[in-house]
Amino acid sequence: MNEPDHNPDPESPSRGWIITYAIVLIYLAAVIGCLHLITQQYASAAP
Amino acid sequence: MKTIDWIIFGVYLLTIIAIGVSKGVRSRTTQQFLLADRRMPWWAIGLSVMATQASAITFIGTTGKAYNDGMKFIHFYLGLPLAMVILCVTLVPLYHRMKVYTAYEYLGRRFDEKTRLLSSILFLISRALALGVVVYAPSVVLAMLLNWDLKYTILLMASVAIAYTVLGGIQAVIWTDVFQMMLMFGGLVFCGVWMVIHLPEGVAFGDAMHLAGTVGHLNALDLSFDPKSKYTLWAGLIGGTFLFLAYFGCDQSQAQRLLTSRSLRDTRLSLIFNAFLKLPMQFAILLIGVLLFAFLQFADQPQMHFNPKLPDAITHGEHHDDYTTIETSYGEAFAVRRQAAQSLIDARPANDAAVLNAAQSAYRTAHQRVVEIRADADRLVKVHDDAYEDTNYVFPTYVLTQLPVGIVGLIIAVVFAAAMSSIDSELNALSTSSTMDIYRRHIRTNAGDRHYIWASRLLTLLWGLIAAGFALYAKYLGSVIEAVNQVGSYFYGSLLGVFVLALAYKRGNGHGAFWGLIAGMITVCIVGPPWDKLEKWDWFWSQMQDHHWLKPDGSPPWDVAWLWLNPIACAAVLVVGIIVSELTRSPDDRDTSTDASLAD
Repeated sequence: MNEPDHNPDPESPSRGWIITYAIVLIYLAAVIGCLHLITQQYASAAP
Repeated sequence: MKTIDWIIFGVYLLTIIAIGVSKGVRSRTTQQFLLADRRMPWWAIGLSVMATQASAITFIGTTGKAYNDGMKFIHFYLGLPLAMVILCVTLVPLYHRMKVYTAYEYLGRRFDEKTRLLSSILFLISRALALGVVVYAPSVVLAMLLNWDLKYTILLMASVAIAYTVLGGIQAVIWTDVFQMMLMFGGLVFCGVWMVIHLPEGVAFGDAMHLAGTVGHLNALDLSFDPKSKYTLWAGLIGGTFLFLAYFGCDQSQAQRLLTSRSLRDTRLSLIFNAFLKLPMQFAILLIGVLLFAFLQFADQPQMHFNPKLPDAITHGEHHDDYTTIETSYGEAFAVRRQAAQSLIDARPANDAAVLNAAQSAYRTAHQRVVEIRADADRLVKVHDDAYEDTNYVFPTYVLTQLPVGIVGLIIAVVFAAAMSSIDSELNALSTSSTMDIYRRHIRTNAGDRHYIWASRLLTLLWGLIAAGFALYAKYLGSVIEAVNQVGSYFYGSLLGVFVLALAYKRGNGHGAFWGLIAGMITVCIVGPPWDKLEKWDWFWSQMQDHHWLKPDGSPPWDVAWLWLNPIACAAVLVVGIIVSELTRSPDDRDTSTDASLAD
């Protein structure tokens, strides 16, 4: 007897994947924030 | 290079060839040779994706750009994490469900054969051109090391790469990429640490950063919205996302890796792996270039140009004296800047704002003088050799003159590893697409697996020779790093557009996709022509002037930075694709899109 199919659409992102994607986007925002801080840090020195 | 450097370099080359041979021998079917039997682990695919993107250009060109212009090139990569997430949700599940060999096979199933053929041909043209540049970059280093003519080094580089790629299929490509990526990480960490440790006496890491920041080299984020500017947050986030969607999802040289995984989960993991690692890696490479800027201004001998191949008229011809005069001025300006840099470093601990501002102002003025004199020298050199290029020689010069014996061989191996890991992937993808999308589909439709493996090997050889031919002319394209991406941007937006049409517009048909693709290419040619190249075409430029099509100051009527070409072309494909699809759609049209699009 076949196992019951708990995930009828395995290609649709599960909650775990959605959280992963959210983490990637938060990470991108953090990187942009860090770059902004670096730029600001030296903004007084730069022309 | 000393004997020990050659030994290290030789061991690296032998290791790579050994992996290529051992993996290539095992391939018995086209699925094994071209898709590794769809059994590769996610981490190997992830490293291979990184290695394919990080070519020798990444080390040579990016460090050179950071030396000259600072960190602003990081904008280019900001769209990458976004693109990875979008691909995980859209194209990747479809590729897995349909079990295709090439990205264009998907278009064939979704639309029709002519769309598959046209998109495959566009990919083949753009990749062959880009591959030429990828072969050219490490040849620059080799030419400098061996003091050989560039064309002989290009031929040597290409022949080694072709031989090793012909022997191995995608398995060899991925496993050598894993090894080479590890080598690259090691080399990168070593270079960074070495540079920080060996900053001149009295110059701390913070001082070096302050010097770079004073002249704007640490302006890592530009929030302005200027379509002419290549490096802004918006160009990176919007243009970059489109570029990376096209590169990772629609370019066979990357898409092929995604087709080799054991499962959909593994492919997604490999892309997320890249989303996290790529930005820090590029940041580190750019930082090395910025540190190089701080490091070299304390060098004993000022170096105005790093590329030793100056035109004859400069070295011993009519403009030799003029160049020498400029060089003398450069030496004086260089000494003044070094003094100003030292004064600025001395002023920092006191924390006196007035003194610090004065020191910064003096240093900035001194640096501006150095830049102006160098620009004068550039103009003089370019009178005799318009293709003279210096950016890509900065890092190799540092390696040869500053790193210890043994390490030079290692870093040269790293540069070669970066090059090889891109060349092999691209040759393999070119051969896969031409074998599966054209040869097997239109020329020899019913031969056995063995035949197609050999056809694929022969096509690898052919594409390698074409790439080598193009590499011989790549130096006329200016800075290598931009050249590769510029070539891509003329094609990628249109390719991406047709994939978006396939995914998002259920009523789209083959006619719409085909004409949309052509419209996208035409739009790119109109919106973003290479004005700097067209300026040199006297007849064309005089026609532009005669018809008053130029601005009053003689500049082009419009100018759009190349990163924006990707979304513009994508939009053009979608608009024309939808209109033509609707116009050519008959009530009897069968809906073939249900299993191959995301739209409901």
